Amino acid sequence: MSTKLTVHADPKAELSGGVSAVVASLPVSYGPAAGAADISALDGEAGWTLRVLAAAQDGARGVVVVNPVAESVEDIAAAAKTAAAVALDQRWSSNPAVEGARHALQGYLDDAALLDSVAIAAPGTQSVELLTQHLALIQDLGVGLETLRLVQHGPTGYVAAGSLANGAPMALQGITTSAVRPRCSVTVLNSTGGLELTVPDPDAAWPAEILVTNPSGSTLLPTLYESAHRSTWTRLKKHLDAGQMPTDLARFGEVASAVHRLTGHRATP
Amino acid sequence: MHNSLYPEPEPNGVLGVGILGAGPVTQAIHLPSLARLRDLFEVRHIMDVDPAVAESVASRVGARFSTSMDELLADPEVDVVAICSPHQFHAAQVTAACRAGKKAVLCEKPFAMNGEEAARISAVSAETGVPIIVGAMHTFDPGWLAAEAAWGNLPEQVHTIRSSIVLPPNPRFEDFATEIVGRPEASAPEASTPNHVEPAAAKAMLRGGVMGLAIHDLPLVRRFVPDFQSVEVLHAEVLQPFGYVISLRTATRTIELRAAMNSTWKPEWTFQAIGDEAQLTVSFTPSYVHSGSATAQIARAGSAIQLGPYGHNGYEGEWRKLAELARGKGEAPPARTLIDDLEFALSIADGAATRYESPTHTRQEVSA
Repeated sequence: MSTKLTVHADPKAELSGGVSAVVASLPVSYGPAAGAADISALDGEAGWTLRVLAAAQDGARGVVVVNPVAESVEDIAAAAKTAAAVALDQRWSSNPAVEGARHALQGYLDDAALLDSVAIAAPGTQSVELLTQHLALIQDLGVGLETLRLVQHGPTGYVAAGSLANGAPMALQGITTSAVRPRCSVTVLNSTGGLELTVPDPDAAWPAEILVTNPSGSTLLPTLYESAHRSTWTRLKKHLDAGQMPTDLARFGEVASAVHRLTGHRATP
Repeated sequence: MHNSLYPEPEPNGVLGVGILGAGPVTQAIHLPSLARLRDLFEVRHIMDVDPAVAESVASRVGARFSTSMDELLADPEVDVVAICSPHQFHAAQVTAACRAGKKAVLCEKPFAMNGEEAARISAVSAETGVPIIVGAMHTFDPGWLAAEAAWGNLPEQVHTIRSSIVLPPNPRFEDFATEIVGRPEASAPEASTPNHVEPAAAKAMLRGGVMGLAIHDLPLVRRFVPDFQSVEVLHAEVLQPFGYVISLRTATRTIELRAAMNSTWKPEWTFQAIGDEAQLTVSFTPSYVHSGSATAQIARAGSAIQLGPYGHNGYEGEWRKLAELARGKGEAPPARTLIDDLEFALSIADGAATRYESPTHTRQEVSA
C-alpha cells in the first residue's frame, strides 16, 4: 500500500497550480502538511531552480513546479541532480491527453506536409512565457525544436518557423486575446488527412481533444476529464511509489535551450 | 451605378449572359450558380477557344457558341459578360466588354496582372459607365456580409489575421457540381524527394498559390489592415504536393497565410481576425458545390454570436450583385478597392517569391 504524502504549496503555486483543489481530489495519495511536507509545490517564476534545491535540502521527497520559466540550462541541470523527484506542472504539455496524442501523431509524421500550431493566452502574457509553454507541448508531442527560428515577435504574440524531421514546414504562432479561452492547438496534415489536437488551460478539467482524420473518416479519440494540474500530481505519485525519478527537468532543459536560442532571453534567479 | 447609355431592362426581364472561357470554373461554378438564378439570368452565348468545349457547354444551357470574343461581344442578346478565361486575357477582355457597351462585367480574379493595367481598366469602366465586379466570391458571401454588418469596432482592435485553407483536389467538388468536359490534364508531379522542391518550382508555387488561392481571402485580410501598403513578407515556404506557409506583417498587424492541397476528403477554409477583446472566425464552404454560405462567429470574452449559414454562397452572391448593378441599382465596388486588392495580392506574391530566394530562409538552410 502506498504512503499518503503531505503537501505544502507556496502562495503563488497555490494560485497558479490550484494545489488545494488537486490535493483534495487525491485524498488517498496526498494531504495537507501540518509541519514539514513530503512534497513542496513551487511557482515557476524566476528563481525556481534555486527553490527546488532548497526544498530538497529541507527534506522534500518530491517537488512540483508550476509553469516554470526558461532559466539557464545549467541551473535546470543542477536542479535535476537533487535527490527529490521533480515534476513540472506545465500549462498544456502536462495535460493527460498529450501522451495519447504523441502516440497518435507518430502515424502522421512520416508523410506530414505541415505542422501548424497556435497558442492563445490572455493579453499581457509575455511572449517568451507563452513560447516556453508552447514549445514544451511541441516537444512532448515528439517533435524536435532544433530547426525553429523566430520569424517575428511583439506584445501580441510571435511567429516561429522550422521543419519536421521529413523536411515539411512547421509553423508556430502565439497570439494574445481575451476573446476566447486560452488554449493550444496543433494540426498536422499529411497526404490523406491529419491530426488536430486542442489542449485547454488547466484551470478546469475540460478535456483536450484529439481528432484524427484518414480516408475512412474523422475520429475523436476518447477524452480525459483531468486537468494538467491533477495529472502532474498523479504522475508524481506513481514515480515516488515506483522509486523512479521523472525526466521532466532533462526534457525542460531542451525547451529552455530552444527558448534561449530563439529569443536571447534567459530567466535568471 | 447605372449605365445611362443603354436602356434599363424590363423590370421582370432576365439578363442575357455571355461567358468568355468555358473551362471547369465556368462549368462547375458559374453555370450551376446561374441555374439557381433563372429569374435573373439566362445564358445566351458561350465562347471558348476549343470549339468542341464551347459547343458542348453551350448546348447544356441552350446557348449559342463561338470561338471568338468579338462574336460574343457583338451578340445583342448578351447583356452581361463573365470573363473566365486564363489570367493573361482578363484585362483585354474586360476592356473590350466595357467598350462593347455591356451592362456589367464579372471578371474572375485577378482582373489584371499589375496595378497599371488595373488602373487602365478602371478608367475604361468609369468612361463607359459599365460596372465591374471581380470574382472574389468570399466578399459576396452572405456569412461574411452578415459579419461585416455586426463586427462593430473589431477592425480597429485587430492585431492578428489568419487564413487557413485545406482543400481536396478540385475534381472532388467539380464532379459533385457538374459533369466536366475538356478538363485539363493534371500535370504529373516532378520527380523530387519528399518535401524538397526546386527553388524555381517553389517560387512558381508561391506565386500561383497567392494569385490563385490566397487571393480569395486577401480582400478580407485587407479589411483589417489599414496600413496594407507597407505589408512585408517575412517568411515563405511551400508544402507538398501544393500549398504554402507565408508570414506577413505591417507596422500594426501580423498576418499568417496557410494552404494545403492534399488528398484528404475534409475541406477547411477559415478566416480569423483577432483583437485583444474580440475575434472573428469565418468558416467558408467549399468552392464549386452549392452548400450554402459561410458561418461567422464573433467571440468576445465569455460570449459569442453566430451568423449563418444562409442559403447561398458567395458565387451566387456575386451574380446577384451583378444583376443589381446591370439594372442600375446598388453600388459597384469602388475602383480604388479593386486596384488596392490587386496590388496587395501582387505585392505578397512577389514578396513571397523573393523571400524564398534568400538562402537564409530556405528550409534546407534552416535544417542544415
